[in-house]
Amino acid sequence: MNKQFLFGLFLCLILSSSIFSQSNQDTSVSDISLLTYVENESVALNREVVYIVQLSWQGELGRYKISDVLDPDVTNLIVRGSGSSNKVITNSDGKEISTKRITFYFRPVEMGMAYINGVTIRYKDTLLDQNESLLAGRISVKIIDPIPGSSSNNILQYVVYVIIILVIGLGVYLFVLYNKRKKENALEELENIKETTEKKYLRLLKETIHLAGNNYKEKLHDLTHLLIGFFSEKYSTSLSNLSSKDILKYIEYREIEPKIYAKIIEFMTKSDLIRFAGNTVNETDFHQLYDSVEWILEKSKNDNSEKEDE
Amino acid sequence: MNPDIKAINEKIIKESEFTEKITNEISKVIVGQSYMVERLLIGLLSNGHILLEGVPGLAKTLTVNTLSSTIKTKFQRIQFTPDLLPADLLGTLIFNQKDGEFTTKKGPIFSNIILADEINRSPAKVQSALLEAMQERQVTIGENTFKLEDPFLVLATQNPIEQEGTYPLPEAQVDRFMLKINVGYPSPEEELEIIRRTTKSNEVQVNAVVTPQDINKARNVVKEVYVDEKIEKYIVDIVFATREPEKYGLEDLNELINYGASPRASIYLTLAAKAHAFLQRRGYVTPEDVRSIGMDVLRHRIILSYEAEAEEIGTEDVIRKVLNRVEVP
Repeated sequence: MNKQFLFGLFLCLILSSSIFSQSNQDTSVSDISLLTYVENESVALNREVVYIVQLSWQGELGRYKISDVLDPDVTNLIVRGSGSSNKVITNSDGKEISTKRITFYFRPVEMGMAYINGVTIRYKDTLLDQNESLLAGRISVKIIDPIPGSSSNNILQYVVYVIIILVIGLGVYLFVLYNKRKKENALEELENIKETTEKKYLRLLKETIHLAGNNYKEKLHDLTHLLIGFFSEKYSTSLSNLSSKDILKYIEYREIEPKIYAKIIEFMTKSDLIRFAGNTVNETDFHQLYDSVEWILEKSKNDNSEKEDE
Repeated sequence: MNPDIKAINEKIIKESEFTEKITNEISKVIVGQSYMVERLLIGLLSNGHILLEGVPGLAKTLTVNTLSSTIKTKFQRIQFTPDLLPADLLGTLIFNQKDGEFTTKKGPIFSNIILADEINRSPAKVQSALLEAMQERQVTIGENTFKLEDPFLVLATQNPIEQEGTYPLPEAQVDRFMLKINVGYPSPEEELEIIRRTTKSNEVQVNAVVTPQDINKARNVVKEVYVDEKIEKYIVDIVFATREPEKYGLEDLNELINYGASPRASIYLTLAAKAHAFLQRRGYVTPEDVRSIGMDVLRHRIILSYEAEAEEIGTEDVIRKVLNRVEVP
């Protein structure tokens, strides 16, 4: 029904335009004709009204030059944009028919009737060098309830696309963030382990080697093995089966502060003398050796922290 | 008991002077081989015989010759050959037709330093005669027993690559050597120096810088070097680890060792460690001394199984494992 109506309207418009045109134009001078129509007589509120103005004449396209097309005067519509196109065809008589088409796009404002009150087209007849104008008639369009259609689908599609992009972006961001956090955690864990080695041995020193009491020779043996155990754990190797000389040689090739290394040598030398040379050890000597180990552990901890800060 | 380490150290400084002199004299002739020279001194100081093993041309014989030249003492070189007889070594009884009596003709073994060159080229009876003399430090010829001179040191050499016409020393006899030293090749720099020295015409004079009395005095000081109970325990642990490896967490060695080191290994390890400490001018033994001498003392005392041979595992690999496993005091 809609198609029939459109066809009818189309014919009316042609006739009306031709009549109007004829009334405003001298065809003997110029056989230009104007046709105006809308794509749909009734348009949903959420759709566009497409208004077409078509000029056609016999002869070359350059015969008429459109100098000005004023925006149509409209009611209940807002101009959204316009476009134009040219076309030249040859009819069955072998004559050239040139067509210039101008399309206007309107957005309905509210439901009810909307009107395109006409449009004035100014043109120049290049053959006769005359300026002329044509005025299209008024066309009404019924604005009906909004319907779900392709435009809303498009919007929905855009929204979906945007959401997908956002989700992917978020995923990438989260992945990067996760990896970064993972690395940070691993580093933190490593730092904790390092820190734990020094802290652990400081704790072991306090827990297992008691300053009070006697049998300092035996305690010194334990103290020395605690220090060797610390270096074994720190450098992830077994040093317990090496002699003092080999242990010192091993430590020398590590990045160790010279002061700490000197203290280790001092301690190991004294310890060897007491443990293997039959030297006696009194309470004061033992306290000094104990302090040396504590100092080495503390300094190693600080040394580590400084290196990490760097 | 608190040993007077200071006093021992002073004695060591006094009595060890000659070791440096010997080293200097030897270095006039021998380039490098400081490891071998140090081991020879350890043998000299701890009264232990030494077996030198190495391919020909590594200056084994020359080193021993030079060492003997530095000592004002009697030196005999005995070239072991397949036709050598025990009497050629020890001596024999000679019938004197004039007196109608047997007189003793002492062999070359009656000397202070014996170089038994290529010991594995002589048959077992000769080796046995020498090794018995090494152990007992006396020789019986006929009905007379003669005490060997002091110091009495046997330095034997053998070549490991030639098997044809050789008589490998039985394990029980090898055990009598305190140290078995594997003599290695010199470094390129050392070899260059060897070329330069040996291709010039000037002869180097090696001086005798030490007397047997000096050596005996030094030996007495070596005996005084303090060995702590912990070190003794460490030595015993090392030796026991070759006999009962599983007790020391060395289960993988169980199948590889047929016979572990004998108590002689413990004795020699202690003595050699003492001598090593003496050479370091130290009056007490540290685990370092034991570890550094351990390989040379144990190398020839562990008998490996066929499994070890099949897996191409040598005694040195086993000893290295033991030394790395047994906890250092």
